[in-house]
Amino acid sequence: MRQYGVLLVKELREALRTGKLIWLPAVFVLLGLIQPISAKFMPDIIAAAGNLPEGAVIQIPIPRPGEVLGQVLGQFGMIGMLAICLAYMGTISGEKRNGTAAWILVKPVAPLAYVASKWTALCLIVGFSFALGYGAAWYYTDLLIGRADAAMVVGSGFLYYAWLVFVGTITIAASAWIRSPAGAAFSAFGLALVLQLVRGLFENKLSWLPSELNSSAIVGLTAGESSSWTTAAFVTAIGVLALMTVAVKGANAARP
Amino acid sequence: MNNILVADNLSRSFGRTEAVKEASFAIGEKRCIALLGPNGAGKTTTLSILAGLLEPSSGKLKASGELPGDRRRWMGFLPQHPSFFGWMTGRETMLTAGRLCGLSATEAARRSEELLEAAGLKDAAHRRVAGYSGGMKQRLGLAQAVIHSPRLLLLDEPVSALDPIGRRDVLEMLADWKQKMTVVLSTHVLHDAEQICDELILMNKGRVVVQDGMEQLRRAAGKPFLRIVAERSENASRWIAGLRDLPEATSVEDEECQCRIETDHLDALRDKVLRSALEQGVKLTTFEVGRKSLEHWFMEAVRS
Repeated sequence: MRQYGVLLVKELREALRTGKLIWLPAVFVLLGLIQPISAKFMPDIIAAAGNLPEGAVIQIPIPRPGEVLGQVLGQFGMIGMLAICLAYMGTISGEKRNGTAAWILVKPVAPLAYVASKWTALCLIVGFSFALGYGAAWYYTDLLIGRADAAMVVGSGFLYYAWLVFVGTITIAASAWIRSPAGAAFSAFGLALVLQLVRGLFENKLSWLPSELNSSAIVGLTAGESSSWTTAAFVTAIGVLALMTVAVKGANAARP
Repeated sequence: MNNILVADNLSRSFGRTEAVKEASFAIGEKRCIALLGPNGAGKTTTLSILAGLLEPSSGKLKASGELPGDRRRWMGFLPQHPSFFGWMTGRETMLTAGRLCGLSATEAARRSEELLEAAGLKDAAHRRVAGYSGGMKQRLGLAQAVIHSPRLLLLDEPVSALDPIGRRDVLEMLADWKQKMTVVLSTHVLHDAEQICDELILMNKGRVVVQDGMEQLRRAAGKPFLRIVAERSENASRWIAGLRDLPEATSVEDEECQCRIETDHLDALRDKVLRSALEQGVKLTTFEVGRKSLEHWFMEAVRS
């Protein structure tokens, strides 16, 4: 337990020193800001772009606040998820390759403590980044477009955060087994995309997939009422546990 | 003598290559043991098994009963190419290592300062490890490996990659520590092993060739000897037969006019023999001083 704490401090300090704690939030904040601003000013932007005949009337309805926040989550769903995969693609394989994983594991440290500290750091860092980005989006939506239903915004935020953590967990598990960081990032990102796609294709039958959390959050914001996500949350929790087991095995099995 | 770790028929294979084959040896308490062998002899694999980084494919490791079951609690390990988190400072590395080994925060801080001082890294302690030189990293590696005062210290090629100064620093640190703990170090340089170790485990092609004390080995490897050949004459035969009676000679093999004398007192014997040869007018054709060194013995053992 003490080792877990020491390793967690190490992970967070590493994230700070290597800049992960700066660029990951920056990506999310940037993504979060673009959507409400562009939604509000789209007519002006198009008008300013020129090439329009004199007297053209542009009518783009300004979306409702909930819709804007839903679009923000959609943005997070591609680039934000990719950023998480990139940030964590080498978290175990990199340490294995350069020998620092061995440095930790020759000490009386349980592999579970090693992986769990990484996972906790992921939860904290992704939580921080997502909260900043989502918070910024919410603030600007409030400022530029209008008030969104707070309960819905917070609820969807939590659902979406759970989905991001799930994707991060896939990345950690992949990096425990796949030597190449790019390979780990690709498999995690690919798996997340496939989950989303499959969920979209078989909407009725596969609503228990973890990707349901993602779509439920977005639908909740845009339509104002969320679908049932309890089964999906349960499946996600089991998925995280399973992925952690896989990661611990990976960290343990291929010690250098 | 107490053994703190006994290896019984350890084997480890990677795919089809057998890196270690049925290695059996014992690690006694408060000994400094060299694991000697040419490159590819299985030294690193053996040490990794001892350190618990690799599981043996077969065979057993038995630790002394009084020690805790988790070997890592009373063992320190320094791999061949020690790696650290480049973004940590030297002091943070020491503190993290200490805390991971189960020391309290104050205890870890105290040991860190003590060992940084001993390793000559006090002034560099606040600098990031990424900027350390190879020698500094090696000393930091040694210091962090003993932060929890282990009973057994395993070092993989601790001096092979260092310049003469770094080598001397490390050997001095080890000479100090071997009073307090068992040290097992691997090396392919016999000279390093001879300098600080008092026991030798020779490995070749994955097998343990021999394990013995350094002194015993040196003695067994052979005493210095004189080989003398004289021009054939009655006088010479008589003279050579007379060499048997020299008090310094421990064993003499002679034929007619040549002989081979082993001795413990080479200089005195050489003096006497030459003098008497001159006095008696013996015409020497060959006068050779030889010594079968550990180096010779090592080469022979490795080639066979």
